[in-house]
Amino acid sequence: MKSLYKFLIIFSLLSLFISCTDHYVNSVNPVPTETTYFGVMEVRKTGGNFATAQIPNSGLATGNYKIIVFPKAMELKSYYVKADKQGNIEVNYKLEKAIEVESGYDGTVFGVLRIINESGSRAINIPVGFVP
Amino acid sequence: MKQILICACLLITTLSTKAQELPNFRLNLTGGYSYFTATDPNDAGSEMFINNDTFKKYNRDLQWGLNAEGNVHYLLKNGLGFGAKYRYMKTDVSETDLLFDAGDAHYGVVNVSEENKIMFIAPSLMYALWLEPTRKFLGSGALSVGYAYLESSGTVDNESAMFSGSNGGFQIDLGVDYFLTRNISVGLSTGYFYAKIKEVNINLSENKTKLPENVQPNLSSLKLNLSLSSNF
Repeated sequence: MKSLYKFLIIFSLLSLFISCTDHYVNSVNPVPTETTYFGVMEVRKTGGNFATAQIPNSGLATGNYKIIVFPKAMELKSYYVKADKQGNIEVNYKLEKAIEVESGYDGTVFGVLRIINESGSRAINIPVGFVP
Repeated sequence: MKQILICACLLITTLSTKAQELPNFRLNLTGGYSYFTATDPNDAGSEMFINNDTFKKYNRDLQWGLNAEGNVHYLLKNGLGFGAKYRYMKTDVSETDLLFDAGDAHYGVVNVSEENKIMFIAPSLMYALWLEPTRKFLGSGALSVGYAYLESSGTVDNESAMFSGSNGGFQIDLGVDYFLTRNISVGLSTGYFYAKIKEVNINLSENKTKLPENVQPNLSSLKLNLSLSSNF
């Protein structure tokens, strides 16, 4: 069944500026090519256990990727994920508390997962949706 | 006969005392662990990182490092010694993913690694004394004031940089040595080192950058070392 979602959060740009970089020169890195996933990574309440969420047909090439932004409500088992030949990605997560879903909707998007490739040249933003 | 025996005893006693006098020259090598008391990255102006287990491990790894030291002193009969010290310290953290607050109810993940090398060279004033009558255990204390140099390199995700700087510093040492032979002693030494770097050269540039006070590297550290000395 196709789910309907209400968008509660839109994407925010990530700016890397931490206290340690007061000591360092911020060398100019190429800005990654950004795409948005035309779908939603569905998650459910897991309590204290880790579960697996799927990101099918992400459009990413086979290889290793890193999650560099994720919703605070979730806990990730690993920040490193792999895309298979079809671009499918699995994310191990824990979601201890349910997210409020407005009546009339099947779920709600409560955040974004941002995944970047090893070279930092390509990033994809994936909406994360809670389904009760 | 009695007088001869008494004289002989006095002579032997005197000779024995002379054989156990303080050495004139002492070469001391030590190695062990340093504990840096001020390395929490979150101290540098803002609570940037999330204080989770990964951050605690990162901070813990930065706080501990290895050190090696060489000291050479010329000792006077009264126990006062003059000499020099050279010390090398290193602390490093391999790549670690730290969480920070990215805003809008999201965490960001950043990969951080850091390596710090510290060198300290200084003239040194020392005082040594026997701790017990058999003169097997030698206690010593030293104060060294000199030049400290820091070279720090690190990466934040794909960005890497290094900076170096120097300033005055001092070290206070306390040690106990056990004489295995007349010339060789082993022991333990502990001490406190302080230096603060205020100006740095970033990425090998010739220009110095003055750092704000809250981000100036504080190299305060305690040490616990094993030592080996050659005494003449």
